[in-house]
Amino acid sequence: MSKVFRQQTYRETVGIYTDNTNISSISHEIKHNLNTPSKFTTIYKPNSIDQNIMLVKCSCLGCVNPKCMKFSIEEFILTDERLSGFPVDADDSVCPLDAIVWERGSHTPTIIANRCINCGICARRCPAGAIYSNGENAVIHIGERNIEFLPKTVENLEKHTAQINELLQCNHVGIFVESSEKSISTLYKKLYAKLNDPQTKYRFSNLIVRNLFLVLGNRCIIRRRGDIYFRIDAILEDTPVIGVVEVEFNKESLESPRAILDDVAVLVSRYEIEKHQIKPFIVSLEFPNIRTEYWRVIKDIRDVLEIQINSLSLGALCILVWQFVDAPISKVDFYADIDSPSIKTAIKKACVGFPIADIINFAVLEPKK
Amino acid sequence: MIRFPNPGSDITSFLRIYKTLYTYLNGQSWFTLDDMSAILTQMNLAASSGHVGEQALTLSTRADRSRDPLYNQSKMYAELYRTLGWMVSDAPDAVLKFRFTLLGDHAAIADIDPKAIFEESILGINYPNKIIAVKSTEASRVFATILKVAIRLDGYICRDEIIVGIMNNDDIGEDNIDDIVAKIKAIRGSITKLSDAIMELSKRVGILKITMENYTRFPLAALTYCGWFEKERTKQFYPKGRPIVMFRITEYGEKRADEIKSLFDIRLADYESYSIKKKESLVRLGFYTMLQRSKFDISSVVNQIKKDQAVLKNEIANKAILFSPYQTIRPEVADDILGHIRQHSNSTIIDLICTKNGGILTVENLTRQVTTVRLNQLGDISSIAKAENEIAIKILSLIELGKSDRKIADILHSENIDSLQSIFYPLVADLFDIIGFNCRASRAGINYERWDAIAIDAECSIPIEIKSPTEERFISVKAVRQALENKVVLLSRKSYKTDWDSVSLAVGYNLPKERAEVSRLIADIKNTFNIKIGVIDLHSLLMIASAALRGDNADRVSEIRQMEGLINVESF
Repeated sequence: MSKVFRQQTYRETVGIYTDNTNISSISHEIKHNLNTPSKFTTIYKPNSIDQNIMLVKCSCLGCVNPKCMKFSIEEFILTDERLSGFPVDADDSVCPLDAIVWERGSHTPTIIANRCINCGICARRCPAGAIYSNGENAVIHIGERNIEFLPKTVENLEKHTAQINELLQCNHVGIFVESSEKSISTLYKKLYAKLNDPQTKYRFSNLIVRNLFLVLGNRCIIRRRGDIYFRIDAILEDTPVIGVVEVEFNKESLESPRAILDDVAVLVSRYEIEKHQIKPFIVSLEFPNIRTEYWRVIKDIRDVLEIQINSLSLGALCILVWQFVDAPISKVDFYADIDSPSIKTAIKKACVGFPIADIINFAVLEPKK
Repeated sequence: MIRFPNPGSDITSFLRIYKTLYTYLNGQSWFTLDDMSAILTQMNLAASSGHVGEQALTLSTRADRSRDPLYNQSKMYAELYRTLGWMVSDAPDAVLKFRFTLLGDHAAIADIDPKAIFEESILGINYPNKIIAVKSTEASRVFATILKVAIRLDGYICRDEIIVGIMNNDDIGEDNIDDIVAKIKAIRGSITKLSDAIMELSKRVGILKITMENYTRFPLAALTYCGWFEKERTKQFYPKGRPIVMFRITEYGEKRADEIKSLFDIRLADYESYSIKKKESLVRLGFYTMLQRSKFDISSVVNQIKKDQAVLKNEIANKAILFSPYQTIRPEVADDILGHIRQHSNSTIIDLICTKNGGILTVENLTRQVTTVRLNQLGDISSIAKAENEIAIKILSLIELGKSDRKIADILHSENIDSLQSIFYPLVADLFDIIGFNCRASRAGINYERWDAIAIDAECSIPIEIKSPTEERFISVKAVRQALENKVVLLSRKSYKTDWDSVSLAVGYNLPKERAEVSRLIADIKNTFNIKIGVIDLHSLLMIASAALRGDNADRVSEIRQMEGLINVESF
């Protein structure tokens, strides 16, 4: 019988902290900073007797399973068996714009600056804290002298995996990008350019929203492309709450509340999810103008059907991601309507300890006046 | 014309589906399209009528298999996987019994760089071949030619140029490539010439323009997936009119084009002209080097490769070859030469869900929510109502000419096929007036009145969502969603009095095409929100109005107020 050959791997090395850095004594906190690589404290033993505590710049270890590039399907798949029939888009990319690439022969992945919109999703995923923002785009910090890239032997692989597991225990504090008019402006300038770029993935909008919700501590699945009969854009899960998401990046803001009601009806009637378990979210690029009917209809729906639709903008989700806070849907509320069309207070509440600046030029926390 | 089916133009999903099918069906000695459909639905990789899983299969399965969406989806996948050489018909006389090939085995395990083997497999597609019986007569290695031609056209090519130049012409030898380039160059610069060329071709080959475009969906998706081309919207090559999407060759695409130029391209006719010994060498050399370019470790067969290169020294002049045996010759021949014997399990083919319950369930059998209105038979026209609006005058004049309600509806329905909102909305409101409602169309620009018309009542007003035929020819899910919103807004803002019990209407030119889905949504809305949505088409509305003018004095207002789902008018 003819042989079935194996495909050759091109990652032949793994990164390991060497140089007497005792990774197991990490202080379990990675501090993220703007414009500069993150740091953590570690114990350094220049010889067998002395030891010093020192600050170490976080640097890429070239993970054997790069979390900055791929989700594992277990991370986003829902646990509620009633929803097991949802046709899941199993695209496991972390970057919705494929800005992180791993070139053949390189020890580590790199970020293509002009593809990156500075959303921060990859930085939230990196166990080594090696990704920071230079204000315009994310950067992978590479090449600290206490890291060596060694051949992928069984022994080195075990050591590498153990160090990654240790790093995964660390708390992440600090910020990726500050919440300011400038950073939102940078984000949206790039976003609008990408949305007009035919290279951008067809399902970019759903993918970025899913990935933002995932790194904020939820499970989230999006509908597989081509399933025209399934109109629900995404389903969130933070047991026992089931979130239903409509992603509306076009100007048709009035279509989203209608779509949400359709989604709720389908979940209740076809999937036997209880109505009170469902938390609906509309995610738009920017909030509709206050003069549109959107805000009134949201209120009508609450008054008549007792369904509170949460309104979020992509910018608001990014702000949450940038501050390294979690936002599991069972613990956050972003309800806004004609009487109070703002989620600024809710975002501030979720980002305790971080200043949330007024953002005037982009309707990310409240509609434009 | 070379035709590629289009089961979906997302190559990542296409590859994932292949791997899933391989995982579940590889153990079988052979499998069918129904087996593929069963796997696709069990794994939630296919949907039908809003359902996945077993229900999708149940909803999809129709007595006439050619109308069965899942079966057709599986058929399209099968045809493409066969084109890629990953799957074959088990025997020439058993075209709908499939098995995987040795190339398909490699495609299924290519986890590290799945793109590499996909790239080689699309380069391996060549016509004619002994794998797929095609209607086209072109001798072509489509994907290699796209690269070769684009390089000579300033690195750009567009969909219609691919249709006109590549998918409808032979490409054997440099002369043919020169002809293709010359043909496209002669068109470049004039969008009219391009459009004329497409229309002429459509006429000549007897394929609609839209169908020809659909045949390009898979190849175009593959070009960008492989990173050979990037899309760019530009007016550079066709300056008049709107910018069109051109495919710009990437640096990587250029590199691949260079590599392909250096390969010795062997087609079926070449292969058949060789001696048996040389044929064997070609199969081995073609297959192993294809795997090598797909980054498989073939170090264990290096010596065999050297021997085969020596055998073919005179024919290929020490060049590498472009020849994919599983995409060119009968697979059993390739298997023999490569010493490949398939191991089959004795397990039975998976039970088919569609026959589990002892029979095929059909979509047509499903109960739909329908409200039937039975018009009364009237012998004379003594009770004809007084005409109060333009449409009533028209209907009455037709009644006087002896036309039946159905005939009248037929005439006026046709007359309104191009009606704009400004005509259609008041027309609908007038018809409701004739039936006995007090109906008025909303004025354009009044945002807070979400409905397009309202049947006003002291207790239970009915909001009406209207879709003119120029907005949508068939009422859609969108109209149902809007009807729900109208009811919510009316209940909340109380601009007219209404109650929870009476219907919210969606009225349009024709009843929905996707009736099962619209009915299902209406049922979901009732179950979840206890709100009734009714759907009425213009033809039905005209029949009821005509009957009303003729003197049918049944209480249609109550019937419609209580209706739910799609209307069905029965007349004598």
